Amino acid sequence: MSIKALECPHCMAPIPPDSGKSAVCAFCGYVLVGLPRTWWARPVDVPPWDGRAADRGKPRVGLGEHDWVLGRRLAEGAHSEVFRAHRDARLTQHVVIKIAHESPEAAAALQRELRTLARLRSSSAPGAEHFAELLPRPVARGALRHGPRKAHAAAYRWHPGFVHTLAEVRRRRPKGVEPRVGVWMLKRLLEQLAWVHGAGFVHGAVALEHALVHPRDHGVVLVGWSRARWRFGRGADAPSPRVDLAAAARVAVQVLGGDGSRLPRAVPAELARWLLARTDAASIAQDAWTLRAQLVLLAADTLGPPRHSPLALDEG
Amino acid sequence: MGYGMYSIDAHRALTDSRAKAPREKVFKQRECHPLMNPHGIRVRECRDSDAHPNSIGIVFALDVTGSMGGIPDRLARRDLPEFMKLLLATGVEDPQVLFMAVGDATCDAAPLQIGQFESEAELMDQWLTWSYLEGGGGGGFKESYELGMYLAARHTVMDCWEKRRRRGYFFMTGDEHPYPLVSKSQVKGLIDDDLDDDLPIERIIDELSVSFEPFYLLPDPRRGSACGDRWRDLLGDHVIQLAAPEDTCHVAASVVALGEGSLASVEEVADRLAGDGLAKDRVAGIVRAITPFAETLGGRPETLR
Repeated sequence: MSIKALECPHCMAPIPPDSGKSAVCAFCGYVLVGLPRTWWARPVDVPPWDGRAADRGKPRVGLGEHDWVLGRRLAEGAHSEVFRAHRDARLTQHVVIKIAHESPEAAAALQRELRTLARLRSSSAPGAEHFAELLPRPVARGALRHGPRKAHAAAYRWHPGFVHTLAEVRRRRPKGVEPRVGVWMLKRLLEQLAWVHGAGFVHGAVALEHALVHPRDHGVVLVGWSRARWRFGRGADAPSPRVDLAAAARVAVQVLGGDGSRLPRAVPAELARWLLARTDAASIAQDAWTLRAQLVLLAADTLGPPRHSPLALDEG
Repeated sequence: MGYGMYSIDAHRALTDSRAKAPREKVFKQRECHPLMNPHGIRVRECRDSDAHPNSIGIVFALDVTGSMGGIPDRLARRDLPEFMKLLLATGVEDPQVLFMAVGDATCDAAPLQIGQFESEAELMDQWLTWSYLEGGGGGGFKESYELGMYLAARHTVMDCWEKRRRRGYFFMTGDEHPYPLVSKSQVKGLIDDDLDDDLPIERIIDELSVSFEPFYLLPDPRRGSACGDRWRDLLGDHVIQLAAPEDTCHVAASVVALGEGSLASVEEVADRLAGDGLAKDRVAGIVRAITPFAETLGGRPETLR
């Protein structure tokens, strides 16, 4: 291979090899055009990923095409454990990883949940554009490649702000949240249930542990979809949406600091009677939207016009 | 490039003067401008100068296919001064902005265009409005985003990275999937680089993220749900779901301010935007959009108040 040095045809001075198609000779000032190409783009050296310093020593699992660093455990249920996690890469992604217990039932429950979420996501029931976005969104699924144990797992996109379950709210505020806060929580639950029922499903496990709350944005979303069922199934055991509605009312009673038969005095009596009457599925004759409309009117009568009421837990 | 001084008043005067002009009067190119043609390109440089000793490179790679042409149009009429104002007000002192335009290399006449890094309002505006909004794009739900990434990865040099090891910011707008491979024949035809083989897009994103923080901005939830999963698989939480396309500049400026540490949290971003008179619902939408990225910066997750 021969090397050819570029030089100015006027004064023979060397021309820097990184010149472009034209240059001005630094010695004689001659304008040079049509220079041969002497510069090529080169691949960028990508340093190997060494992990974040903050992640040293933390457990990792392989799921889908990526490795994930496990963070704190968020919950444990009958069939699975739930962890915060993030992708072990420079361009990271925060997720929630649900790792099924090592049993065929647990793996089947996870599969059921994934199937239900896929069917709900493809639903065209009115409101789908908004409510489908509130569903857990799988980003990876399958058998763990390595990690604490061999199990089936699913990683869901992290919804920023939805940090705490209502069970945690109940634990930290045993005397109950403000009535206004309880009202917006129940409104959010009823709205989501209305869409789920409209899409043909019954959640089947509405409970404090299966509701995540966004304290600032008045948000509540349902998780734990493994017991959801198609509501139009054949036979006498087809699930009724009323089961979800009664469970949502019980959740509201619990976060307001009540038990099955009464609520704290801070909750206006009329509102308390309405709520307690709806904790029994057999006594509910309305659908979720109708219940929500009743709740809105009742709350306006007893608490005044709605206003922004963020959930405050620190002083509780 | 990038030696001029920035004047918000000059920039506003420029954009205000064309607020009601038809798009054809603002973007007059009917083919790729010769100075934006990447064929034979060496590098685009983002360099420090006496006036800008702490330059930071910011690339806007704008999808100029039919469904996405509104964003460059809005930038040219109104939003670019807002972007610069927000950056400068939050203490990002020496931003240098480069505009690229991206289309579909399988069917468009000008699928790849590139300007220069600039600090001066008139020059930024010049490269933006020299972009040819071809309005093309194919029917395969893919555009040549990977070529824009290739161009930025291998044909830019920035003092912020070379001297200070601080990455620049690469914002790509779009609403479709990328092609999975950087095609060597397209690279040869459009840029005149010789590749041994096609490159997987994952490889070029790795290269791009050496010196840039790459972001993909989805213009609204509807289009985001159509293509967001693929992009999140590639870029993780650097994929930003906008509430509406008009938030593009505020979101980009907020991301740079957070990345540079000139604003410490999404709460500070919200206060700053509200202080600038932005409507409450828009502030909320912008905060929601940037929160996933903000959480990757190592700050504590949003906690109960």
